[in-house]
Amino acid sequence: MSVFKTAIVLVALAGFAFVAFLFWPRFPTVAVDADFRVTDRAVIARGGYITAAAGCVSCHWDKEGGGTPFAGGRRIASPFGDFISPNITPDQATGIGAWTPSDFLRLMQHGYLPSGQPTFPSFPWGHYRHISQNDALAIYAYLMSLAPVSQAQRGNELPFPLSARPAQLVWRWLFMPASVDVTDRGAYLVHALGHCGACHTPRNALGGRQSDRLLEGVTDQSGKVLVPGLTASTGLGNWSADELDDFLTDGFKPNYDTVEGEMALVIEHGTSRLTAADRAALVAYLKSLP
Amino acid sequence: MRKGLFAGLALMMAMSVSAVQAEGPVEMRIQAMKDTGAAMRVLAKAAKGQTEISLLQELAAKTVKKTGASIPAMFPKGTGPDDAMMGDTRAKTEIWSDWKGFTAQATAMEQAGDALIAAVGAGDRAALGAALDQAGKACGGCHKPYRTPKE
Repeated sequence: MSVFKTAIVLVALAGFAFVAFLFWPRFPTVAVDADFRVTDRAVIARGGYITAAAGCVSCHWDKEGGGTPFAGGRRIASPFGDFISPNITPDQATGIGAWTPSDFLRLMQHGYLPSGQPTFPSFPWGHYRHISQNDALAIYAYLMSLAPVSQAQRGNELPFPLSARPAQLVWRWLFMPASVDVTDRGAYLVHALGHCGACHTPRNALGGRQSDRLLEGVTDQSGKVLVPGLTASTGLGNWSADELDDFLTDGFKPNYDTVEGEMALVIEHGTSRLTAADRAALVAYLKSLP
Repeated sequence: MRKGLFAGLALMMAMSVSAVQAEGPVEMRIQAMKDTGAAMRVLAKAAKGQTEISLLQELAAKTVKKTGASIPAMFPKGTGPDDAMMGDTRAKTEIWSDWKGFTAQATAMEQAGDALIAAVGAGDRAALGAALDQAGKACGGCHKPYRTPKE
């Protein structure tokens, strides 16, 4: 065999090995607390609160199509194609009823589905991985306490090769932002649960969040603001803490115009349900951003 | 009280100036909404105890009622998004295809205005807060179905 032919065979083998590497299912190690009980009422109640703060229902509910909360089916448009949110009620066949607590943690903390395949970044696990294990399991207990809804998952409408889940691993390797410090309660509510940056942090051409421009908002090429920034210099500078707290409670801006678009859902299902202390912490954190 | 009076006069002046500036039906509506927003803000501050309830709040409560009462007349046929020269409007065609539903929200706002006037007249902060919630629901109840979100 000539050197040339050997080289071709080696390159082909390397390519095959790389694809196999990407397709190989992954099951990162997670450790569920030994005393976790999915039916614990106190845990379920806390989970309801955490689930609201995490804004799950805004995406996992096809409200306009007359769907059931948490049963998914909502179309989420992106520049890369349309995602259809999955059913996260505990239905065995069409929901997450068959998921174990470990399955759930693997998704929340590492972004892998029970099949071992990576989730798409439309599921904001890059934020959710900052959620404490206690809180993540509380969300699981809450979701498992819901009435199961049988609603089959419609497929995402993505072009190839983006539709191939293994391609996500390459994307992750290139674009997954570094972790952020969420020891402050407000930072935890903003970055971990609220995943505000999913919309309010600008992204690069391939959809990667620009972590050096955290919460600075999104503008188009002409400079028109598409998503307002949440830092003082990019959007909230003229808002007092009081005005921001009011806005996140009742949806009225400082000029008493009503909130619109996705943020209306965030307020209705999320921030308006926070305790006054949590909302104040969230506001204080946002107001601390320069 | 005097401070309230001056602020009230300032608000009235601002409103009369804006009434002069407003030209077409769309500009007029936008200005009416801005004035109503300013009135809501004045009422909310008083409800929270940040200012006292005075003449300014009375004027603001009347403004809310007046807006509610005027809304049907502010949206005559031919002033929708598909009509000539109405390019800037965010009014949806549903306003005219569902005129009953639309005017019901206007009536709800007018009634909220009555509740606001009563609460202000009684100097009752709690009642003012409740009336504001009622007015707020009317705002959202109309904006959600009948206004196109900002791009």
